[in-house]
Amino acid sequence: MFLKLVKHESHAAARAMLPLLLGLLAMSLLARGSIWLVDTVDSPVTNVIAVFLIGTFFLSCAAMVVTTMILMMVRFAKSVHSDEGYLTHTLPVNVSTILLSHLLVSFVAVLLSFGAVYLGVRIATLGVNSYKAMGLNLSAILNQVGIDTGSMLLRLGCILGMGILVTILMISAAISIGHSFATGKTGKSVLFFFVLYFAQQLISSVVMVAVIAAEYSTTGSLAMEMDAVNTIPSTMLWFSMAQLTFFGGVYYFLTWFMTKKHLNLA
Amino acid sequence: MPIFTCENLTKRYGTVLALDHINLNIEPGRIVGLLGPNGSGKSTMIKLANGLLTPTEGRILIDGKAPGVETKAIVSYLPERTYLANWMSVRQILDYFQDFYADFDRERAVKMLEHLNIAETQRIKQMSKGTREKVQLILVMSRRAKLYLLDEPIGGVDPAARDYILNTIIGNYDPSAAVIISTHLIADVEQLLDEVVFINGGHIIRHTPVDEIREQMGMSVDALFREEFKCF
Repeated sequence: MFLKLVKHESHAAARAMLPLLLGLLAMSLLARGSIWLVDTVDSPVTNVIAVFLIGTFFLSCAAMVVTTMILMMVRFAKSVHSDEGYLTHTLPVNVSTILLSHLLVSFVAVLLSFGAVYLGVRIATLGVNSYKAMGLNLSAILNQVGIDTGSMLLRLGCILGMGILVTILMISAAISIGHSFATGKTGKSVLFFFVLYFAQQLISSVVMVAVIAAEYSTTGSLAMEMDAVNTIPSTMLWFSMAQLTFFGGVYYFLTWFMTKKHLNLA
Repeated sequence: MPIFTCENLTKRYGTVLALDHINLNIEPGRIVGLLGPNGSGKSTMIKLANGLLTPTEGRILIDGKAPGVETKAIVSYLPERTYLANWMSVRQILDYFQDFYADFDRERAVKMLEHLNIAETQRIKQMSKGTREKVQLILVMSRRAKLYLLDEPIGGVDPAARDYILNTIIGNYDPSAAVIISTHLIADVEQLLDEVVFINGGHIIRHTPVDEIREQMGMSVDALFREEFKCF
């Protein structure tokens, strides 16, 4: 049943995502054309057009991930908490299966949007030497200070992946709480998103300060000071992973609980 | 064993009591009218049976089990609103039902759709409200379920469409299954019913076979309803 839900949900998501992906790829081709125009034609008019198109392309890249996230969350609200919920919740599947299928499809959609942004940037900068040089220089700088680029990318990838999952779960929880009210469901969903977001920031900051204070009071110094380059990324990685796992679990429980016990379809 | 049981079933929305310690048994093979004025608790009872709401007190059992994955596999539910995604085509919806409901009879659904001249390629957004409701009813009645829960199936459609819907219900339900029809349009459904349950203010005020109303009281269900729910 999980795979069937994923299949149908993917179909619905693809329908919404495809125009976005195609739009971004079209923008990247226009941006590449603009770079070529700047290189070959020396005119103020073409320069203005090129700058405008390149700027629009980079704005589109930023908007791509955010729009995908919004589309996926609208899909979640529609399918689980509004009229379509009458069908979703009368399927012979449990709430966890429904939630996990949405989580998986949303996660893949956001990853695809990152992939599309990467592909778009590669297309827009195809054959641009300074771009390649920038990547090589960054790698050289990291290696010089003793950080392995591959390992750093892996760590960042883990944090990014978990961050995406937790963000999806946080928005899902906010939607599930907001939709448990009889009126103003969308407004309350937005309100609860900010409540959860600020609560997460506050708790994370308090825990981080507490950890540092505890370490300082026992050792009289901070481990981070000893080998800043290697310890900070590693400490931060584990700290971030732990807090993301904790918040992910809390948000999943909130979403499940509100959907299972306080479902309030119109 | 009853297919549908309520034991001291109570549902509260904040301070509003929607159902108040309801006790009810419905046997398989019966068509039951769940009748009452607006806000009497009909839809709440049906939503509880589908697991869309959680009881505040008491319990509801379908075929002896609390609403869950097992009961959803044997209950075919028609809500009072359209639940089909606008962007989907009829074919996609048929695939959806076929994927999730083992008792879905696609052939039966296709025949009924053909009878209404609804193409499988047609999208929900291209249909009128009445046609959407018919498609939804066709899907629900194409399942070989043990219990059909139909919430206001003729609520928002014209008299001709009502006849089609009622004929579809009569012509397609499995005689060993139970059908619960919630409505306040009693005159239209009266000829279908074996039993009626009158509900008002969250209480069951009558659960009687229709024959008894006709033979012993000498009146139609509609007339009895009007008398019992008279507005002064």
